[in-house]
Amino acid sequence: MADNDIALMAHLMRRAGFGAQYDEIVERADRGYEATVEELLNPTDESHGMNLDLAERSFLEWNHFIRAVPEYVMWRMINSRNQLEEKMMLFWHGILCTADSKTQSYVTSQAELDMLRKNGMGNFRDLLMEISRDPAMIYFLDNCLSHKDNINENYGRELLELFSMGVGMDGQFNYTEDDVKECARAFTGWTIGNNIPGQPYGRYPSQFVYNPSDHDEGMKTFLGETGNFNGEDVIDIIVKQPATARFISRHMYSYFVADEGGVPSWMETPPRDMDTIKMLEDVYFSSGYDLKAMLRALFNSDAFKEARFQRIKGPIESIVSTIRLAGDWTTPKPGFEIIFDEMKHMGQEILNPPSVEGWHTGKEWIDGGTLVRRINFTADYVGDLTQPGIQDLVQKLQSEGPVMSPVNLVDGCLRLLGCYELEPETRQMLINHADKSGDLPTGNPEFAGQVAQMLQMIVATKEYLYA
Amino acid sequence: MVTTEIAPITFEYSHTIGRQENRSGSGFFYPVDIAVSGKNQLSVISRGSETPAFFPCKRVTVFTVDEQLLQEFGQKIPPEEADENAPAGTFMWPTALTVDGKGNTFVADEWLQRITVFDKDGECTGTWGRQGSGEGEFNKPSGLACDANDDVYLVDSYNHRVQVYTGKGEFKFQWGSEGNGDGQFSFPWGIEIDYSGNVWVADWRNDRIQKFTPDGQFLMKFGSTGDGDGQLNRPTKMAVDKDGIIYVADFKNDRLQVFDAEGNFMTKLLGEATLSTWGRQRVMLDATIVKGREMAHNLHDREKLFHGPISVEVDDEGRIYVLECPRQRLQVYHKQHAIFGGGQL
Repeated sequence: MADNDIALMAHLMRRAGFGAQYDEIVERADRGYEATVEELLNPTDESHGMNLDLAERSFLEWNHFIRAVPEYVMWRMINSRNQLEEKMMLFWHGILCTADSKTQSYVTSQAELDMLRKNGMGNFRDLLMEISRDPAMIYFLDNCLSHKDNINENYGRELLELFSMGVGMDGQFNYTEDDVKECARAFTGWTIGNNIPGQPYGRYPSQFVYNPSDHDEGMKTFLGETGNFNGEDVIDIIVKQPATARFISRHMYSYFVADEGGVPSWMETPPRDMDTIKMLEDVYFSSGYDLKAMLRALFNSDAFKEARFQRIKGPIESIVSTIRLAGDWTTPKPGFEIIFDEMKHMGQEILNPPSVEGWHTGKEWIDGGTLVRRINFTADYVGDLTQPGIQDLVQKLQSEGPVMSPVNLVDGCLRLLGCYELEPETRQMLINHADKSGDLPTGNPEFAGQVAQMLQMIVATKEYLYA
Repeated sequence: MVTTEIAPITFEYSHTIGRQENRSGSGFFYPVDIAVSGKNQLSVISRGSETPAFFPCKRVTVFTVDEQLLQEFGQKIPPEEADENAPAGTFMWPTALTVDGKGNTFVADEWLQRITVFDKDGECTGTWGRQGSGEGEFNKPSGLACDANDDVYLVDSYNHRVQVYTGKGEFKFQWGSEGNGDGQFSFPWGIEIDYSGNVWVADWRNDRIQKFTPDGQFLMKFGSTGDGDGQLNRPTKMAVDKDGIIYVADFKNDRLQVFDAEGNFMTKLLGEATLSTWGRQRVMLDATIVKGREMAHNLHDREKLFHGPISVEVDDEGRIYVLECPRQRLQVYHKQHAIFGGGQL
């Protein structure tokens, strides 16, 4: 197996998933890059490889999803072999945002996240239809307060600005204030039923209701087209806009390839890689808005393959990939809330994005507090020699021979962490540090601790922040 | 009053007991098992939550059939203290309880890997058991039942077997292994001893029920995977009444299925829950809940349905108790014979 094949597979699994242990990377590389892409693009209920029924049996609150939704989501991210499915769920959760701080109904949020998982690699039109009928979204963006004689523009505005087209591209506005109003008129009557109170028997999932008597049946002019539009018609018009192709393409690029900057800047700031964006836009239209086709084209592109370590990992990516590396949480045990708290402290509390704009990504993930938190969390894990993944990593290094040089220690750790690359200066600093102990007998009891220390130093580097 | 007709038996809904009560008091918090603990008296073990603010949410609640709270005992322990040194009387992941003829309550905890015993006053009198796969050891106990001699039958779930202990925790014998053959199990859950002393096991991942003699000889089985009549999706517990009728908590199908003594499907109940006494007390404390219930769409049609029925129990009076984990309540039904019992025409 060529080293570059393994490094490329490690890159794919970091981006299209939440990283993988070295053995899985080698196993997937052995099966081939394109085959792995197809496997990731075509998840099934059977292919996730999780004993979900057994996990739900221990985490009884997951059953019927009354509580513990963040923990359930994290469990899937950590343990599912359908890594891209979970990654896409997180992708859309950061774009089609609702927040539990307002909705206050985990059971309804769970239904939304399931919908995002199910439709995340499907057709974009279907996804927009589903999110427009999603009770959590209808409540979060007040469409339940939008009536034919008194529209609330909130959902109509965000559907255009943050969910599908963006304010503008190539220096031009994509829509007008009138389009926002007409869009809102088209979605009048898309509401939710009055739900059963959470006491005394716990919460029930909220339900979508279409109320024709509260729908504005008047003529509307939207993005240059005129008719008695309902919500479905508006979505049909939205998905055929070039701006929508651009918007989705830039989001995909930013999430999977390289940080694109914040959405508000996209009107004036051109894509950093217009050729790849154009390629994605073409696939968007030629495939009939098929997200899977866009992802396939992206993962098989040179732009993706060459874009290693150009994205700062988000907190959830950082936490989940660390746990997967360590091999922790593969079986149920108490104390999952600590992981949930860690996400919060690092700035990415699942189910609670800071606003409808979602999380600000890239360098905005990092400040003094979150950086320390991230490094401490990661260093604690990779330095924990009770973790099966770390024990395995040590054993792999031991199996390379009776003595290990400082260079081989550094490079071996980098390789087994997922073919990480350091700046030459950083790498030399680590080698110099390892050199203080000279060549290491791998059979010595101290060897495992020396490996753990080196792993901790690597995860504290600037380079390790990137995926 | 809605009834479900079967010949020659009908089931009539009686009432609902419980409400969500996170900390303690008149209600449950993710209840997982129920036992008849006296005449007109029931005991429920709540699994609770690990959310730090909820204390002491893991507990045994003792109450009457007409919803009078009698007693509570046991309490949660934080995850970081949930190890072999956890104080007696504390729970991490309780799964099951049973009550012997002297009124002692036995509670299984699948994380602490032990059985905790409380006397009839709720005082903890000790713990027994240890993790392992040898005789007298178990891995994730998930079902408990006492026989007429006060021996304790225990479902050793992750070792795929049934074990029998004295009430003091002395190992007596065991049977079963992993598999789907007769007498084999796949992560079994609940256990029941019927009026004849025979043993019934909810063979959870095999989606079936198995029946054994008291010493573990295989007698019969029924059930298969699915959601059709007579099929099961992760059955958690069953109860057998004096007439041999079998009631199965069909957990993931959100229903109670009823079988005759030979395991033939008779009928299914989907739930008839109404507002319990404790529930009504909670509702009346908050005008917004009263208003919310008045406005709620399809309140009764949605609220009445079983949701996660996790355990079932019967008593000598012909009452059936169905415990619902996510709904923090139990529904009570009466079995009614169509056979004429005398009196006026």
